[in-house]
Amino acid sequence: MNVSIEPQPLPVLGVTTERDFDTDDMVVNIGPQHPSTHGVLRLITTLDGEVVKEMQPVIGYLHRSKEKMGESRSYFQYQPTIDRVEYLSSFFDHYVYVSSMEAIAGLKVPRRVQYIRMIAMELNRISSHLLWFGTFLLDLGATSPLFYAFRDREEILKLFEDLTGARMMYNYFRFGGVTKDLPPGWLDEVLDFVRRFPDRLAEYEAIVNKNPIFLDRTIGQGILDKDLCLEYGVTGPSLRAAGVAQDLRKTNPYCCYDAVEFDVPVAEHGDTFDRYKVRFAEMRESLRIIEQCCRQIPGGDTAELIAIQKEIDAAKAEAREPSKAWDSEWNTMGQKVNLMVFKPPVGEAMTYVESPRGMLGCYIMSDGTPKAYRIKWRGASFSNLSVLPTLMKGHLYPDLMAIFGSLDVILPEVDR
Amino acid sequence: MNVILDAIQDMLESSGILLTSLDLVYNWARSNSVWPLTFATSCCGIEMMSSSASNYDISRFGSEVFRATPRQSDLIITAGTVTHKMAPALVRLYEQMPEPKYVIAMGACTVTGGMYENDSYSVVRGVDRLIPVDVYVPGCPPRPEALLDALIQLQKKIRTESIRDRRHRALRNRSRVKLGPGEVLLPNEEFEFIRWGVQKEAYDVDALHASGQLPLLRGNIKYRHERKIPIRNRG
Amino acid sequence: MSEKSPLETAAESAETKSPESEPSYGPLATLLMGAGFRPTYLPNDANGVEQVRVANEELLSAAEFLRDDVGCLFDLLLSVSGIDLKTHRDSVIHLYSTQFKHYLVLKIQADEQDQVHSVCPVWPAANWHERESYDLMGITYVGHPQLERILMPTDWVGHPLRKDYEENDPRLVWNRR
Repeated sequence: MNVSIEPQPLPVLGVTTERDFDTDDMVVNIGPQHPSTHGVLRLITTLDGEVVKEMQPVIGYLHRSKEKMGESRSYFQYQPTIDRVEYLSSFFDHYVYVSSMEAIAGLKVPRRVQYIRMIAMELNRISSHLLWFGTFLLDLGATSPLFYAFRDREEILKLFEDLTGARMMYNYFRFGGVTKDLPPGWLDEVLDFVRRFPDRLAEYEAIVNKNPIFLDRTIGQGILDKDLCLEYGVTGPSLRAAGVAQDLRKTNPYCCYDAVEFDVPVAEHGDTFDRYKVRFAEMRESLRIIEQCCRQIPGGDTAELIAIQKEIDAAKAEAREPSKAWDSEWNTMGQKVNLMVFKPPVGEAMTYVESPRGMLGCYIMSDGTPKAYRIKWRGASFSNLSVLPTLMKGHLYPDLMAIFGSLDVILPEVDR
Repeated sequence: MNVILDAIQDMLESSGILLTSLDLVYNWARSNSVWPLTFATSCCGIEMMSSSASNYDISRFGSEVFRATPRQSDLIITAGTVTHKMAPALVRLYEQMPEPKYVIAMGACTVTGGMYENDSYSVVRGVDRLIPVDVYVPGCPPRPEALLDALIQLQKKIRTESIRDRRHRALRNRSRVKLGPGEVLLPNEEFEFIRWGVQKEAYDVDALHASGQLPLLRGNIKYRHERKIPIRNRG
Repeated sequence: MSEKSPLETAAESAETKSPESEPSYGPLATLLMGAGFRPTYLPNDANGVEQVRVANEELLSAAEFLRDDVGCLFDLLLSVSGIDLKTHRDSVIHLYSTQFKHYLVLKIQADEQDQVHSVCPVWPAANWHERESYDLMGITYVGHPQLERILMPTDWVGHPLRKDYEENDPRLVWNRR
């Protein structure tokens, strides 16, 4: 096979000859590898001194063809890979995928499962916000909050490891339920954590909130007002910091969010400090939700359920009436699904969920075969990042990391 | 510096004891202070950050300082999937690192392509198709303890090196690809024979040529060693 | 709520008007029909979200209507994606209203040259979404300000998410399994 390749000049993005290039402009490439650990993003910035005139993000450095993989794998084979769509909120990825399929296949989910899913998702929200907190302050130059944040994050990851067996990629939800019931005593550990954590949050606020450098760099910077947010499709804490009370847990409740009481923190100005405040307040609200879930969960702690099951088995063996009854809402799987040859009916469904970064959605179109026809992931960070060029016009270059860090963008969600 | 060391080694060739302890001291100093580059592409990057945090503390092994610039780091932990779009950037980073440099391929995506090996159209199947790797860490993502274990293995590897061989190793293990405008991204011939599912071996290319087992080369694509690039400090 | 939103009154009037033999359009489709557009009927998806197929010629005016009309107020564009049905390609738009808290799925069939009108003038959020759909599915969006590849490298050959996509770029032979 004779192959000849002519050398072609590679296109250079961001600089075109049609634009009037002021001779004082400087093009700075904030390359795909940079120390702030948001992932691989390239920002081609045109600077006039220190003022940003234009910014062009180049994404796709982490495009791993997740949507195409969904078409070549069966539903169950695809499931372990969707944790990586947004690795800091894997439970949310799983929830949208599993919930879309449950809608298509008409699977009913027991209430205990919904409560377990809620606890897992809210703990995941806290761990994601903690990591955001650590890395945001690392970008601003403060190195110690990172270690504090990771100390608490390790506690949550230990809880997840007891629950699912993995620290980061959980693969815990199944179509119609969860893999295994909670470990006995897990709810007590979660309540322990919930009791200890508000003091830690107060500690972090004491470290950070009165620091004059932090306040100077964040108050009044990067104002993302309501119209800009809605135009560019920005959702999540950035939208709530701009004044729009939009939280899918309240407006379109899913799971059992209408059975728990919590508030949605909304700020007014839409600057960096407001986004920081909103995320901090969300952590506190998540604690409230978790505590209520732990008390309201049907069936209570697994140790009690094990005792009830033993009593029922013993009664059956002795051929007498059991003194306790089993409620079907305590099941951890609604309906047995043959995962190897799972052929859902033809249909399509989309589910959106309030992830730590915004509205995360999954759209599945099934054609009756064991493999999906089309799976589309709507990542919140994709739209959140598209507002950055407009936001940064006229700002100073050193403010870039503060503003970009407060948007909380995770690149695998952008690139999928 | 290398010329002086060579001269000293040649002089002390007869008294072998001093020769080895020079290696020992030099390698001990190097291995206990391996500074990595912050190359976190994807999920493994979070576990790399966890391993540098206080719970799993990587700084007890000397790697506390994560350098942002490749010019000042001696280890690159490729944590995260490398795609076709990112590959030239990774190779450029590797080439910018000064010798002696090491690579830890962290996570299944960088070892073989991981879960993307089967169907993905945009993922490089293993980062050793681009740069030479010293230690492979499997896992998806590997636990922080696994990364620390890899660092310990790397330290052991550093300690067994000798100063004389280091130069030859550097010359032999240049990056697999050289990129410029219009150049084709192809690795060295050796790495075409990567057997799927089995640990990758480097074949003796000349022997295979002689036995006639090499498949036909494709067209008129030039491999790197066929272009006469002068290697400095030869001999 | 004491007073009904325009949606609910439209739904009620639709139920009394449409005869049994026609498929029952949902409230949003009825709203569109009331404004003079001709949406094609699509059944609701499995989660109960309403789906509407709009012709390519009416897309821009329908989009403006959906964004501005007091009855639906779709101010948030969630995503624009493409589906490769083997005979043609579809462009799918997901919309959400922060006022009325409902979703809508708009489907537009691309013509033979795989062209669809871009909704960027109406919702600037569509900019990146349409670039991704062009990159991965090959649907050209007429009127887009900067239609170029966003996720794949700029000199990539082919549109990967299509059903008939085969990776036969000779430059990538070395990455074969």
